[in-house]
Amino acid sequence: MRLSRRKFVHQAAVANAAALISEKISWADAPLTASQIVEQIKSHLGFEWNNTTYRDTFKAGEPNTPVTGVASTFMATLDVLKRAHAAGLNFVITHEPTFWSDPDRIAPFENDPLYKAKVSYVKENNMVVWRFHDHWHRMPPEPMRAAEIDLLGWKQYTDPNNPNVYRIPPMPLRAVAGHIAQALKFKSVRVIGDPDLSVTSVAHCGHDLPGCMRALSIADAVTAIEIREWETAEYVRDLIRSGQKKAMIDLPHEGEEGGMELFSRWLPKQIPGLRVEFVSTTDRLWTV
Amino acid sequence: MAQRLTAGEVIKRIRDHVGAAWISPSSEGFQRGSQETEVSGIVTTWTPTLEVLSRAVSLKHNLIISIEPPFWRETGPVKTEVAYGSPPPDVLEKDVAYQYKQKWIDEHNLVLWRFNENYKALPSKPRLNALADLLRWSSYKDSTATQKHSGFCTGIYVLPETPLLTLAKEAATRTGAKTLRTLGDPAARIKRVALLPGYITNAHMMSLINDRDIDAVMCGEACQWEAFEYAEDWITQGWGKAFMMLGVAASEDPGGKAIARWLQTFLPDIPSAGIADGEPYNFVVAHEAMKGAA
Repeated sequence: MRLSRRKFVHQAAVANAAALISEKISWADAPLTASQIVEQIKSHLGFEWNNTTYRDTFKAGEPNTPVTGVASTFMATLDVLKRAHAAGLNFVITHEPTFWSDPDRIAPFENDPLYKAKVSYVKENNMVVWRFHDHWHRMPPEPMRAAEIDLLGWKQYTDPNNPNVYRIPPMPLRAVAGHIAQALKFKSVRVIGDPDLSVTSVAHCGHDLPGCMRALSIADAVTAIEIREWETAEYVRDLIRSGQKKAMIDLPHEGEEGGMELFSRWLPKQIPGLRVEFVSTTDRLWTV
Repeated sequence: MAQRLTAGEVIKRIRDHVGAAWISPSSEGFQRGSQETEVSGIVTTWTPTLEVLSRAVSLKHNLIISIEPPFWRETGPVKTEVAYGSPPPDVLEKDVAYQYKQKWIDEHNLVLWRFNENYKALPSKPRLNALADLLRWSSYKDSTATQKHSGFCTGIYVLPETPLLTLAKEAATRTGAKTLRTLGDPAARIKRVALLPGYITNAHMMSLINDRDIDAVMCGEACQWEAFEYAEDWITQGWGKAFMMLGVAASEDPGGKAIARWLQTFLPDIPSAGIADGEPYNFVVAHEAMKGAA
C-alpha cells in the first residue's frame, strides 16, 4: 500500500507543482523517522525511484528511529559519525559508502573488529545511516557538477555541447591545477604534464582508463578522481612521451562533496523545519 | 659468450628455477614480440613505459621483463589488481599512445614478458625487501610478525620512534617519492610500521589491524572508498596513527629493478639491468591556506 501511495504522490508531483506543495510534511507536525524522511525524499525527486538500487539503501541503525536532525555528508567515516553525533544530528545521509566498499558489502567483514566498532557506535548513539548516491546524481542539473562549476567560477566556460568539458582562456597547467586546488580546498592535487603547458580545455575523465582515453582525445587536460595509478596514470605518462601535449590533474574524491552541500539546502525545502547540516570531510591528506 | 638463448628459452629457465612452486594460471606471459628472438640482454622494470623501453634500446637489451603490462590495462583472464574495466577494442585501437607504443616496440624488435604473481610470491621477497632497503628499514624487520603477514607480501618494521612528519619526509627523500600523501597527526610518534609495495585492499588492511601494535601503514596506493576509508576509521578509532601512500611507482620501482638482481643469480651470462622511470606525477599543488598545515 505504501508503494502505491508513493506512486500516487510521485505522479501528482510531476503533474502539478501545487500537488507537490500540498504533500509537504512540516517538521512541526511530529518528529519523523529516518524511513519517513527517505520516503519524502523519494516522493520529491520528480522521477521514479529505482527499487533495484543497492547503493541508495539503509546501511546502519534502525530506520524507524525518530530523527533529531540530518547530517548530509560526502562519506560516512567514523569521524563524520562522531561530528554528526556531537552536533545532535542522528540521521547521516552519505553519498559514498559507510563500510569501505561500493555495495557496503558486510558479509566478509562480519567479524572485523572495526566493522563491529562502527556498527556499535551507530547503535549506541541511536543513529541511522542511509546512502544517497545514484538518485542524487540523476537530479537535474547534476548536483555534483553544478556545485563544482559554482566553486570554480567556470559557468561561462562550460561547453554547451558537452557538459563534461570546460573551454577556458589559455592558462598554464600549473595555474589550472592551482585554481582547482584553491577553489575546492584540496591539499593533494597531483599533476602529470608540463607545468607550462597552455591549457584551453579541461574534461572530466571519471574513474577509468576508457574514460580517460576518450576525454584526452577531446581536451588538453583531464581532471580525474579515483583512477588507478598503474593503468590510467601510466597511460597518460606514455601518451605525453609519445609526443602529445596533454595532462592529467588527479583530484581527491571530495571534489564531489559540494553536491552534498547542495543536498543539505534542498532537503529542508522539502520538509520545512527539518534541521539539516552539511558535515564536510574535505581533503584530509597532506603531502611532503 | 655462449650461443644466445631465445626469449622463450629465458622464460623457461625462469620457470624451471621457480620449479614446482610456479603459480598457474597467472597473468604472466608474452605481451609483444616473438619468443624466437635471441636475447641480447634483459631490462627489468615495474612498468615498461616508453622511457624504460627507450633506455633498454640504448643498452642494446631486447627482452623486457615487467611486473605490470605495457598497454596499461589488464588483458588476460587473471586480474592481478582491482580494475574498472578495459577500453573497448575500438577505443583502444584508435588510441594514439597505443598505436605509437606498439609500433615503437615492433620497430625496435623488443620482446616483452610480464612477471607478476610468481615474482611477488618468491620466498626471498625481492619486491618487498628492495623497497625496505631503499627506506633503510631492513635491519628493523620484525621477522615473526612479517612471517604472519607473508600472504600479503607485507613487512613489519620496528623503527626508532619518530614523529610522523619526520618519517614521511625521510621516506619521500629515500624513495624519491614526489607525491607522498599522508593521513594522520604529523606529530604522532611512530614506531611499528607495516610496509607493502603497490595497492592495498580491505582484506589486507583488516589482516593488519588485528595487530594493535601497528602504528602506521605505508603502501603505494589505495581506493578512497575502500582501504583508504578503512584506514581513516582505524585512525579515528584510535587503533592506528597513520596511513601513508608513496604512490604506486615509488613503491614498486625498487622491486622492478630487483628482478634483474634475482635473474643474475641463475642467468649470470645474460646481461641484465633494472630500470626505474620514477613517478608519473610531475608536481603537487595545494590550497594556499592549507600549505604548511602539516
